[in-house]
Amino acid sequence: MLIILALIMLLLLLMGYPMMVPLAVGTLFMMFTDMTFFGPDQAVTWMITGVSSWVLAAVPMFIFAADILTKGHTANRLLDLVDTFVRHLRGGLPITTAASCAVFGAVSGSTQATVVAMGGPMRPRLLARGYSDKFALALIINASDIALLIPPSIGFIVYGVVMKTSIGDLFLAGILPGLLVLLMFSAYCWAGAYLKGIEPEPRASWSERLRALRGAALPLGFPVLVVGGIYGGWFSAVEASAIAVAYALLLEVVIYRKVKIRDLGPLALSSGMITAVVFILVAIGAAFSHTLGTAGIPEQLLGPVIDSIGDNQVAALALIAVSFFIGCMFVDPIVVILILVPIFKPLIQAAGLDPVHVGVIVTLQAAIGSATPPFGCDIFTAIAVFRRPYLEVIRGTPPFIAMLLLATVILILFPEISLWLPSLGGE
Amino acid sequence: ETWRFGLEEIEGSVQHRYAEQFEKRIEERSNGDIDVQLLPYGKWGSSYSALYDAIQGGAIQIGFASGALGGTVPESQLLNLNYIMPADQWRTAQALNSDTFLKSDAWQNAFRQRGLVPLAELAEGYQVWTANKAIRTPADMENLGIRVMDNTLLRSTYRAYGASPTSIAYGELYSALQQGQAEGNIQPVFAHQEMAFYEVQDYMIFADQSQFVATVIGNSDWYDSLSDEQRTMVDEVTKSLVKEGHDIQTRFNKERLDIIRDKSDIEIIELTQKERQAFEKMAKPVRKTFVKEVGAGGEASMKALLKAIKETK
Amino acid sequence: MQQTLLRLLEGVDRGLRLLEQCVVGGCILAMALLMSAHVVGQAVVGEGIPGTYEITKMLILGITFVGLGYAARQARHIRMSAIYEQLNDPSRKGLQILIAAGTAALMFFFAWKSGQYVMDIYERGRVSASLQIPMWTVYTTLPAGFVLAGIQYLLTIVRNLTTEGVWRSFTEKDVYASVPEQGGHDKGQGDASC
Ligand code: NA
Ligand code: NA
Repeated sequence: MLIILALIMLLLLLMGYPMMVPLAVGTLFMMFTDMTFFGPDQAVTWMITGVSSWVLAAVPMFIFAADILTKGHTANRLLDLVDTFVRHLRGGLPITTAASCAVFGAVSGSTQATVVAMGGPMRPRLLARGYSDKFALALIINASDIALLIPPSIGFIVYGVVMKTSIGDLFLAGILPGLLVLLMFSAYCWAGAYLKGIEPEPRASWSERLRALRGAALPLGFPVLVVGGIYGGWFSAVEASAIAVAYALLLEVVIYRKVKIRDLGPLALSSGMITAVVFILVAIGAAFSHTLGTAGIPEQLLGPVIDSIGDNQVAALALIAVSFFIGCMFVDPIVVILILVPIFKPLIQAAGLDPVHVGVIVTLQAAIGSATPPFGCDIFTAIAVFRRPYLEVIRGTPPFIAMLLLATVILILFPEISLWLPSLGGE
Repeated sequence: ETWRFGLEEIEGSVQHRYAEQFEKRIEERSNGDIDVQLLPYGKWGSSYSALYDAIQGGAIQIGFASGALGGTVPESQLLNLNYIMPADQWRTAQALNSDTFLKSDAWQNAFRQRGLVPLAELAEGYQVWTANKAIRTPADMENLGIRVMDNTLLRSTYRAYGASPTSIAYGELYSALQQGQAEGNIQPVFAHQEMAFYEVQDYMIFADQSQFVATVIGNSDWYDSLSDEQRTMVDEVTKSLVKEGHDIQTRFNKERLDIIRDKSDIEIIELTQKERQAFEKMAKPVRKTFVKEVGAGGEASMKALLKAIKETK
Repeated sequence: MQQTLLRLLEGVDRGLRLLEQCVVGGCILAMALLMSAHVVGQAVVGEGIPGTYEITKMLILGITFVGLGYAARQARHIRMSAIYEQLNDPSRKGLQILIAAGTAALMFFFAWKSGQYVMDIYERGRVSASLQIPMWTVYTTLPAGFVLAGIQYLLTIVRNLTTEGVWRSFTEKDVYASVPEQGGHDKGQGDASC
């Protein structure tokens, strides 16, 4: 029965049905074949409770904030800032792209918004400098995932709430791993430019740099406000997302005046649509996962593996990483975190793992999954923004995925990279 | 035939241990005709309203319902009122499960109207305050940013004490207490321990103002379709579990309080009767708020409860 | 005849679009306003806005399910198109019709099921815990959203049957952009974020 279920879902996937269809059909299949005692009425309940969640409010709010910043001046100011500091390096332009994604990630909780904000202006410049389109697209998609590791991050918020772990600590823990990934990408860009013989651009003068720094000062206040506000007890991590919107409006509408009040309607609409595309999968994904759960399938598949691992920490982390990686390849990361974290919670506790460290590994996998075929939300964003075919968008991704997996191994073996910063905060 | 029993709590919890006893006794007494299947939290979903829906819809026959039931059965908020039940936990358990209250028309109708039947009440221990300062008088509570569930009645109650109740999502509560966004918290002892809230609070205050009460509810169509013997069996089994439930709860909360004592130097304060009376006086007008909000059915249920308490010694 | 029908459908479609836009955009703006006001209230007067949590969750339902229809209209639902892209135009058109038909059927099934659920909740009289809002009014967004999405997929079939070319939705043609040679003008196509 399980095999028939898997085959039906796979067939619908490959035919090109919207992702919600295989999930919904899988759910109904289990219900109508009595693999679970719940009927389709319960599927409706689960869809509602699946998205009726306070923590999910952070998703539309961070996307909305990022959309406002993208429409306004902030994105370009951050790009200019990074550009003046690194453009003279070999591979300076792609390194600028990657670093800008990390910096934009610090003002935005959303990888998709980062694809739009940084990819939009950078792709034409990369092409003009002689980089191939497949490299440019893969770089934009994968570098945008650094945004998920650099606070604020929707991934950390959802994980922190589900795992009941301090979101502030998770935010701190993500910074060094995010920089590690950025370093690896930069090395790859440097090597690529070297091999292709692409010459660097002239170095920016210090006055130019200072000007760029002044221009970007207010946007850079963003992470300070968000992380500081959470630490200061002014607002919670979820509420911080609304504060991000308020700050974005202050910057772009009041101070820079690039975004007009009348722009807000269309901006809200497009943020809402991106949210809906993810949330309908959260809703149907909740119905699917609860149906699987009541049918006892996760225990059936994962139970023996979890038992055999016991308290071997590296094996436990590896299993968690592989499971989340595979999960995120097929379903939106938020859905995967909501479904898999409760399943792995007993393993995390039995192996005595630090939930903050696990959170970094999980969020990194979520980030990789967002850029990995067959279903990566950043891939779909790139398809929508650049209007290029699916296969072309993903052609350049393998080296990046290899680097991200290497980063996973490093982070599993050296928990200090994640845990050092939060440990400075003290108890 | 299978009776599915949905729990709001995970395996190893008070509700789970109670339900295990229920399972054992029903299966024994029915000579295995009835198979009781326990569905802990997560097995039916992860949001309480999904459990209540499943029971109202009949996919699950029996389940536990506590604080979140207010939207489904508004009268059930009665169990959240402060200083309505005696400070003695055993007396409370008896009163809640007495025919005078549990079988009263008012209480039965409140659930019947929503396709449910109340089968038993399980008091799971005191709701305990925590804060970063000692609270002995209402003056200590003045303007305290204490976290309550997003619920009108609880907000009115703590406003009556002079506090500034704030609503914070359960999942964000630990950080909120740690960072000072919330200054106090109200939970049963086991929740303080399980969620590690005590790590980020300095004082734990037993004011005996209310207990965490879960109602065992059944789907009314299912209940009406039972044979007379089966209904009698359910009745006798739940009656026999009143003491058992009280013992489970007492043991469980003691174990958890010991863990809290071991792992932290949180100061535990037990209010004297005189200190409690100051709060009690302020809580009493909230009963009117309850009646105003819930209506005649709520008032009748409250009267039944007060009568039951008087009858229990 | 066919032209009149199409024009009529386009008129209806524009009306539905306006409705979807107002709900989805409005919910986002309302959420931003409510949550910020709640935070400010908590920080300044020590008390947030009662019911913020439940209203926020209700707004999410609006965004999700009415947005379901809007995203179908914009052909933005996530799907794996690798195999689809390998096909020639007539096969793509056929596959589009098949996908739209299957998805529409599913949407109407859920519309029916969730409609029943709304009736159940109406009868059970469930209200929200904090503001006592009758929940059936909120849950109406489900059948409404599923119907709106179902209509979009039906319209996709109509468009593909009546109009030349391959259509991913009633209003979206299946086209790709060419790779820009020189840079600087690629941003800001279509709506701001995508
Ligand atoms: Na970020
Ligand atoms: Na993915």
